[in-house]
Amino acid sequence: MEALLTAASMLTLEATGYIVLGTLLGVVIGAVPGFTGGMLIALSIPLTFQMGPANALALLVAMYMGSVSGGLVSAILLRLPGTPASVVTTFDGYPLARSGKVGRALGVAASASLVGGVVSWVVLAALAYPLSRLAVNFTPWHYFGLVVVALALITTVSAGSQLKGLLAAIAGMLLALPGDDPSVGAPRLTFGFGSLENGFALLPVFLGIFAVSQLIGAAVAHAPRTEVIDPKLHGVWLRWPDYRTHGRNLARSSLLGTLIGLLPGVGANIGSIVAYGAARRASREPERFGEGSEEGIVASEAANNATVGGALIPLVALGIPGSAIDAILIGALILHGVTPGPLLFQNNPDIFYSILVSCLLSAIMIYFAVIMLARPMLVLVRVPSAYLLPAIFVFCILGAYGSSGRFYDVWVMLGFGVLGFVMERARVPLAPFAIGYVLAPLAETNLRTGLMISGGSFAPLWSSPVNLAMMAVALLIFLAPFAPRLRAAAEVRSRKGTPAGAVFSRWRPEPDKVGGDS
Amino acid sequence: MNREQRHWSICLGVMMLALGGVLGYASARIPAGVFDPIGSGSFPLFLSILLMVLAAGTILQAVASQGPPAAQEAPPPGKAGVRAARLLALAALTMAYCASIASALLPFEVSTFLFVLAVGSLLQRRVLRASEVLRLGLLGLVVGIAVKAVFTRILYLNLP
Repeated sequence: MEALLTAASMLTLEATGYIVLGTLLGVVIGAVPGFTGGMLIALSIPLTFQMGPANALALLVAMYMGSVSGGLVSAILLRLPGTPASVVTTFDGYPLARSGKVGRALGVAASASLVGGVVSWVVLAALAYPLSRLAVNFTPWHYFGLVVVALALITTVSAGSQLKGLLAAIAGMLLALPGDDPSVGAPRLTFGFGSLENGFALLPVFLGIFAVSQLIGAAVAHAPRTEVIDPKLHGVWLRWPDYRTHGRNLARSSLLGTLIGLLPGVGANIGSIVAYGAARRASREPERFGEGSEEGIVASEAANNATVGGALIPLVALGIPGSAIDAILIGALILHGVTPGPLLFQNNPDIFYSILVSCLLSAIMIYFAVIMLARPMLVLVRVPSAYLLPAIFVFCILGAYGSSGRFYDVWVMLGFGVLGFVMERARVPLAPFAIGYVLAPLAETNLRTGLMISGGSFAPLWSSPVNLAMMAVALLIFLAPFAPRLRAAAEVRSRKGTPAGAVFSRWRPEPDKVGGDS
Repeated sequence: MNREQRHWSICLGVMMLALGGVLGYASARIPAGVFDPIGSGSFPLFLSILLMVLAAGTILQAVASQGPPAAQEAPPPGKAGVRAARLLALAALTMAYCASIASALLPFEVSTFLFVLAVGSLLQRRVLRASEVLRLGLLGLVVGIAVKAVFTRILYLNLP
């Protein structure tokens, strides 16, 4: 109760203004296909330098929440998912809107977003502090184990094949290492360049990976044409019986989304896919899924919004990003001189309360913003990219320059932009790269501190039950995708008497999984 | 994996092999730590080796992948040569814009106006009508003045 009162005290007029602004910008950008919340947040970080960290985080978290929801407008009205998280919403949202129930489709999606956001907010408020208290007692080996589990998860579950996910994560980790060695304080891997002594700054790297790469991609891609539905808002406001009808689905999808959000690297898109599948299995009319089922819209939107609150839990309690956008938020915290992790509650409790307030207010605002702004947003969605992209490009360049006042950072941003573009073309997910980039210093510092304490022995990795469990979990997660191949090998062997190794003689790539939250 | 994706995968694999090789070589030359059991070089060296192995795996996977027959592949958006030319033009315009700002060759507003006009025209992919040129020019002017005002008047950051 005391925590809630403290959180309420953070709701100053200034903070409220930033939350409103962040939510609206997030919703609008989320609705524009090709523009993501990560891009918006990375671009906005330079604008927060003049703010206090609490207000800055309130603004950025509101953008995060808004951008996940904004995608539903273009998903329903244009069949173009504004964000990867709203891909599943197109399955039923567009058919329902096309059948003349545009207002109903928007209303159901907005209401589900509200419920998903509020449920995950409750879990965030209840779990973050106890988890951080637990984490205060973590040793460096525990932290190292957590990073290993996080890396196993992001490489296994993120979009693309496991090999490519791991490649992205390791590349991100390696590129975080040039510059000052955190343990010794001396520069390394600088090749004699003075500018590299501080390494690659977070903001230019994230601007390059998330914004510039997309701008380059958009410059060579064709914008798809689609039939636009006029957003007549009849029936947009749901009534109490509607909530009762969808109550079970709302609760299940929100909780599933929150749980999935807790897992590092598993973004809102996976949350909505899992919840959609669960809703279809539990439905009395599964045959209506894909043809305008309200249950499908509810599952997708409740779950994708709930992942935001879930993903913020490891961020504030452990300093471990749950998604690519969380990695950018960690970067923003560091740029504002705040260390994320269990000591956040002790040293900067205002940041946590600010995040809490922003999440709740933003979840409520999204409901009204989506409904009220659906029509004007369509105008922006239809603005040709030739007008939007050059302006955003200018902002990226000055954003990178403004972070340090050095033009070197602009070249770094462009370099990482090219890298991000090549990665996207090769279907290598960007989220593991960003998370690996943030986790590398944490992994190295804790590994080296742990080794200094243990006198160079790696034994604590398996001698402590907690660490042993974490290593076992990481191994299981990492090997899980090979289970079907092992089963196939066993089947082949039992049918034909073929040696097991024959199955692995040619490593076939896995078919790409859907989307990525980058 | 279609043909275009295979090419990009090989390109990325080669980039990563080079990155791993360069950083691995530099890491191996870092002297061992005195009080620190693994020193400053071991962690990046381990990651470099891992990256090179994964990059080699990515290249092999792309080379071994047969993908759908050419007839079944989705047609790429536009001719490959045109796309490559557009990419090169975008890169050249961006370099010229950055160099112009960094060297203060032209006032920021003028550089931005020209950049927005040029990139906007490039992205339209056809000969522009007079009204479109006017609109892009106006946008360039507004962006140049507004962005400079935001950075210098609100954020108090000096542009070069």
